[in-house]
Parts: sequence; structure tokens; C-alpha cells
Amino acid sequence: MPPTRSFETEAPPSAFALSPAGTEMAAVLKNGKIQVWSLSGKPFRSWTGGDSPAGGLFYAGERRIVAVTGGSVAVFDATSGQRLLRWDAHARPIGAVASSRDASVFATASDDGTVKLWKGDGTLFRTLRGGPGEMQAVAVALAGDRVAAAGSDTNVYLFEVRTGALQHVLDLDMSCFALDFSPDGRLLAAGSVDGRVTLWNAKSGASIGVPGRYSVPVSAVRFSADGKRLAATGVSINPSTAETEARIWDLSSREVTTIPLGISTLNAVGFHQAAHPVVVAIHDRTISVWE
Amino acid sequence: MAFALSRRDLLEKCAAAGLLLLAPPLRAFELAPFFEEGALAPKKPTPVNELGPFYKKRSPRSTHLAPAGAPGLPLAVSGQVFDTRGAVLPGALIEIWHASHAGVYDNQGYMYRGQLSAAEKGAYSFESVLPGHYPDRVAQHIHFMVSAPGHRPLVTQLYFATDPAFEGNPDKNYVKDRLVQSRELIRPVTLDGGPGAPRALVTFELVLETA
Repeated sequence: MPPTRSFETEAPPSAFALSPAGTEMAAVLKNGKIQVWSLSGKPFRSWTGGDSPAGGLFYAGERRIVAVTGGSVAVFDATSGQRLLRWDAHARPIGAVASSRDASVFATASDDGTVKLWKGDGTLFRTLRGGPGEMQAVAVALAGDRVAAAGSDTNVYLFEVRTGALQHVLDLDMSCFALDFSPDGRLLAAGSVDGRVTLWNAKSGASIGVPGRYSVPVSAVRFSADGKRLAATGVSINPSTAETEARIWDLSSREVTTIPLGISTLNAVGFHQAAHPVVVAIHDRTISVWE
Repeated sequence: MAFALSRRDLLEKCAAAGLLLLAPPLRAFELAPFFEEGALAPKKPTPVNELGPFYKKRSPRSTHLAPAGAPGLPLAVSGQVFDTRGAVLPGALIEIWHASHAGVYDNQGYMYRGQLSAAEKGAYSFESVLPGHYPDRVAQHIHFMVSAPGHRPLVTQLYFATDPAFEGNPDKNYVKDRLVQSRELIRPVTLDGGPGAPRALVTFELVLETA
């Protein structure tokens, strides 16, 4: 299946994010810029991210873009590119950032083994710990009441935001880089390094099953707004020559749509206008979009 | 990854620096010290190092991690598990995982993965092949997670002084891999076996802190 469109960037992206509503996308380019495009590839705006190119890029709600460099966090207004906040959040590198729908709660997962919870103004209000090892992935329920964090010890830890209480420890064979709550907070999906996509009841912690399995690590999972579909993509690491694909599951019928991506080390999945699946894969300076 | 040194240059440099030990072949077990009750010598805890994304639970109990005929230089690792008082920890659970000779982890199965228990006097040993290099990591390494009741789990990695990434001088060059934060984790390599069947021997002491 050929992409719906492809376009070139002025420098290769090193980090990439699709907005939660799938209406725009942003990348850190290797020339240090942060660039935002519409889904059609129209450049909206760009700005210089800081002294050194950010290592990771994430949307916090629709209107905030979070760039991480090592253990520091910079929050930008996605419309103006204005830097709103910057602070040193962790002593070790941050691997993932996630937020509630209104960006009033956001979470940073770090190699220091903690997940820190921050208010929208950058005030720390909770430090969460799991087992030995690093925290690799994090998801915040859209309502901002619960946080899921994936440790390199392969467990997924479910916390209540208000108290910081650990509610469930979810057991996986291998760690994951991808976590997402369904919009109603009922389900949690994880994509693991061993290629499994696993679903749980996010309230009880009960496993619902494994809708699919890739032969490469899973890099992204994302629910549709109605929670009835789940999109996931693999990534070409270990080995870097492995071909991968994106899949969109209908969780009721178990029908699956597959989009081959070839070798892809940077990609994203989501749902445009919360309904239509979107897959983005990046190769060197070329961004390819499937709608 | 390109290295300026030829293999011969590197081996000669490693041997000159005492990083590669040749004849007489030393049995790793014979290198390990023994401690009698009442004569304990305190030990520094083994430095911790990243767990990384490739740990896999429930690996098989095995002391032979590589599949039969796997490519790469055969490797035997051995040592003892202690606490910081210097007491041995028989029964400590040691989980080990590393990349293949080609630098690829087996995430679908359990090749180059295994777990074993420390024996009497805390001794352990296993055989595999020397791991390869892979993108995003500069140095060859083997991951360890060691647990024993009453002790904090030890998560660490073993590196090899003969690694081309260290260019024969790990004292100076260990920082080339940003994850290598302690020179102590880089161990000398002893070659034994005949000219046609070389094998690398490495000893690696594991010291756990009390919980």
C-alpha cells in the first residue's frame, strides 16, 4: 500500500510526534530546529529548540509540545512556538513524556528509575518508583487520574495520581516502549520489545489478551477516540535491517488492517479527527503519511 | 563501526597492557578467592549499570547460553557472589542475557539468555560466545541481574578489556561508551584452548548490598 503522500524535510528528523487528534505532527530535526506540519505536510511553523537538539518530542494535549534533552524538559506552545517552561526534571535522561487531555498533569519517565508527575506549571507533585532498572514508557489517562509506567524490569506499574498509590503490577515477559490508555480509561495497551501488543482492564489489572504479535519491537500503540480500534507499529531495531509494519485492529471484530513500512526506525500511529487511522514513517529526510 | 587498529595490533596491545592473558591457561575457578568463616574481608559492592530494554523474564535455567555451533569466540565466565561483608552467597539467582556474535538479541526466544544459582561458596560459571557490537551501544557487554534474599538486586553489565572499542586502553577509553560508568566492570580476558580452538575466559565477582 503506497503512502497517501510523502514530503521532504530540510534536515533528517531525530524525534517525531503525532498530535493526539492526529491533525498535526512535529519533529526535532538534526539541525536543531523543531518543525510542525499539518497532516497534509504543510509546514506550520518552526523554531530553534535550544542549545542542543532535543532527544525526544511529545505532545501534551493538543496545544503543548514537550521536548526533552537528557534530563531536562522544555514546554512549547504548539501554535506560536514560544517556550513556556524549561526545567531540569531528572538527573538521568528522560525516555518518555505523557499528559492528561488538558495537560494539567504530565509525567516524565527516566533512566533514573522514576516517573515524576508535574502540574501544568512544571511543579513536581509526585515521584513514583517501580522495580530495579529504568522507566522506559509512560501513559497518563486522559482524565489525569491514573498513570501507567513501563520499567525495564518488564513490569508495567499502574498508579493512582491523587495518592501516588501503586494499584497494579502488570506482568510482561519483556519491557515496552509503547503504552496507551483508552480514552475512557477502561483499557490499557502495551507494545513490548518482544513484539507483543497486550491489553488489560486498566481498573482491575486483568489481562484481556494479546491481539497481535510482531517479529520486531513495538514502538507505538494508540487507541481511537471511541476506544474500539487500536493502532500499533513496529520499529526496525535489533536487527536494524528488519522490515516492519503498522496494524490497526478493530477490537470487536478482531479484523486487522496491515500497512507494510519496510525498514523504519522512526514512525508513529494515531487517528485523524479521532476516527481515521494515520500512520507516519520517516526515512532520512522523507516523511510518508498513510491515511 | 570502524576501528583504526588491526586485530593483530589490538591483540598485541592488549597483551602488552595485561588485558589479554595468554599462557599458562588459568582456570577461572582457581582465580576466585576463598573465605573461611570468621575471616571475612569487606568488599565494595559491584557497580550498578543499566538494566536496558532487552531483559526477558523466565529465561531457562542453563549454564550454556549459546546454541550449538553458534558463531563467535567461545566464552566462559565464572566468579563468586558475595555480600559486602565478604560472606559468600550460595543460592543467589543470577540472570544473564546478551547479544549474539552478530550483535542481535533474541527477543522472540531465549538464545543467549539463561539463569543459574550460585553454588557452594557462591561460585557460578556459564559458557556462551563473546557478544557482538550493535548500533547505539559502543561496547560489547553481558547483562547480569543478581538477587538473593535480604539483599538489594544487583543490576550490572560485564565488559571486556580486549573490546576493540577501548583501543587497547580501557583506562582511557572506557568513556567512549556513555553507559560504561565504571572502569571496574571491564574485565581482562584470558585465552586458553589450542591455536585452532581458542576460548576466552573471564572472571567477574558479584557483590550485593544488604537490603
